[in-house]
Amino acid sequence: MTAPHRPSSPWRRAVAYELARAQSLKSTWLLLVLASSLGLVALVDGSVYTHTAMGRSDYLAFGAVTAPVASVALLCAVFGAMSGGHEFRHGTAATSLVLFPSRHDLLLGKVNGSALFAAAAAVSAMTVGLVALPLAGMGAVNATVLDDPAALAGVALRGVLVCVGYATLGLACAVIGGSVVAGVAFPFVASALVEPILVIGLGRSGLLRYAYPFTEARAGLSTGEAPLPFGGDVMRSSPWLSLVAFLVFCTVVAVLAALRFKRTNVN
Amino acid sequence: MHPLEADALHKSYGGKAVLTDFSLSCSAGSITAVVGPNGSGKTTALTLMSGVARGSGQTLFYGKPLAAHPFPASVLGVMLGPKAFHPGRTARNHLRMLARGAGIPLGDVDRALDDVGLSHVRDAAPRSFSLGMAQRLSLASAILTRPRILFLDEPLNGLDIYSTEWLVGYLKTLAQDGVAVVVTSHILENLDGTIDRLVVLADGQTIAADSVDRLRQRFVDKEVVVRCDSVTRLTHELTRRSVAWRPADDGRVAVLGLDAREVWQVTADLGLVVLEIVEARPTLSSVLLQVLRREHPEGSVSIGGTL
Repeated sequence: MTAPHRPSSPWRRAVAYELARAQSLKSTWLLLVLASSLGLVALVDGSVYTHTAMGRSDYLAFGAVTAPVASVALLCAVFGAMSGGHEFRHGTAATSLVLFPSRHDLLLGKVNGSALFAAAAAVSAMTVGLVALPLAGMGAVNATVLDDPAALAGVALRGVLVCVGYATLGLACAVIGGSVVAGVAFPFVASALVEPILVIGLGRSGLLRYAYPFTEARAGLSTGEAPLPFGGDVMRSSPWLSLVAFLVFCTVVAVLAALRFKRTNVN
Repeated sequence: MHPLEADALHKSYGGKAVLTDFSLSCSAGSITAVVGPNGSGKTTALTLMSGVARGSGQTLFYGKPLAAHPFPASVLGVMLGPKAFHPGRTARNHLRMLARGAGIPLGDVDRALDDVGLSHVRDAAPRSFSLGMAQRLSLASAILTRPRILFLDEPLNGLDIYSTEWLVGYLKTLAQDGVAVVVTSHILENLDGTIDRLVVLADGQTIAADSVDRLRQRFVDKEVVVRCDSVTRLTHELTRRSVAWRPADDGRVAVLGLDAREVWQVTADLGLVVLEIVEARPTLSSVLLQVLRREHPEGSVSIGGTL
């Protein structure tokens, strides 16, 4: 048998495969440019200029970081959905599966690839926002912000993780549904359906009280200052706990996708 | 050890069996055709063996399941669809992507494109490819990693005469290099003289599996091609007498299992004017038709007609 010239572990090959897959499509670059330009949302987002106890400039910086996240997360879900759904839609899944010993190698490569894209998209959008605001003369990221760089970094990190979560959700749902449409649609109906069901099933007591609403990742992006309306109630969520709940939700959906992918008839 | 050994493969959809107790063994350098009417389970057999579809049974590649090979693509190449690529990704990038996944040098991409004659369009998006070019790109995907076993599902579909001739020649070259090729097809004429072994499926079951020569001896030793002034009357009479026939090219009829004298007698009984009558070596289509007629008489294709 022909010996491969550059042997490497299956998951490294799967990541290389996924990156080559994404890089060779115009839609990837289009999504990335679109995500970056969404950083400019901060310029028109009224909430960015609202004064808070932390001071205008502080909030400006936080706003520049968080304002584009919801839209970028949407694009990340689309990217994830395309990563999984295109294999079915264009009939490449059969050829791809034969490249790796396990189906999960391929899926893991896609999860990693989608996470890399999401991180790049989120960071570039936040950077564009932070740079654009002062350039547009709408305030400056001044010393007040830098007094609390850890808080700003925390919000930025949560924003990146929200985008990674949405990319994973999009991918997982596309694999479960076997189509790009499923991957794009499900993450957006999840917050409308999944959380109310969880509330009915698990209630909203104990730690869960601080986790809602997590599927739309609003609480994960809050600074923990403002109460959020949820299901006719007002939740005083913990941003980190809410983010963890969101990521657990994403992981559960990803595991379901892996189980489904293991058994599915690809061709 | 055989390169490929599939044993007792079974697949059902919604409780209905689409492939039952399918077994196959292939030696290096052989070309095996899995043939049968539409819906007989040919593609299912390939997808089950390659692990793309899930079912019961076991398939071993050089004595091990495909998943036990660290680089499965160096063992098995598959072409399970005529257009298995993103239409907006260039041919070269499509193969580079697969090369990354397989862990082979990117230089092999250009070699594969050369092999299938697509070098001149390597940087073109395949959305503009003809069906023949699309088939070639799908084939390039399958051979990129120089696998020792190759599964090709209906590779001749939609190909013009030049592409067909090229592909058949290419399959022979692969076999001479020791590759075990398994091909499904319902277009058999072009594969005559190329295939070593024939596996005939009908309604998901294997009804015959043997070398082409032995199947010829067993099922149809004689074939006469005849042209006359009323093909319709001739075929009606043949059907009435339970004689198998199939349409041949140029409006002729191939009569199976009779010699020229016997066919001449049938035409004489009908008062037909015979314009041409030739004894020929039974074609693969004739063999398939006879196998189906005798081993699967309850099937929709029992006598005459096209496959």
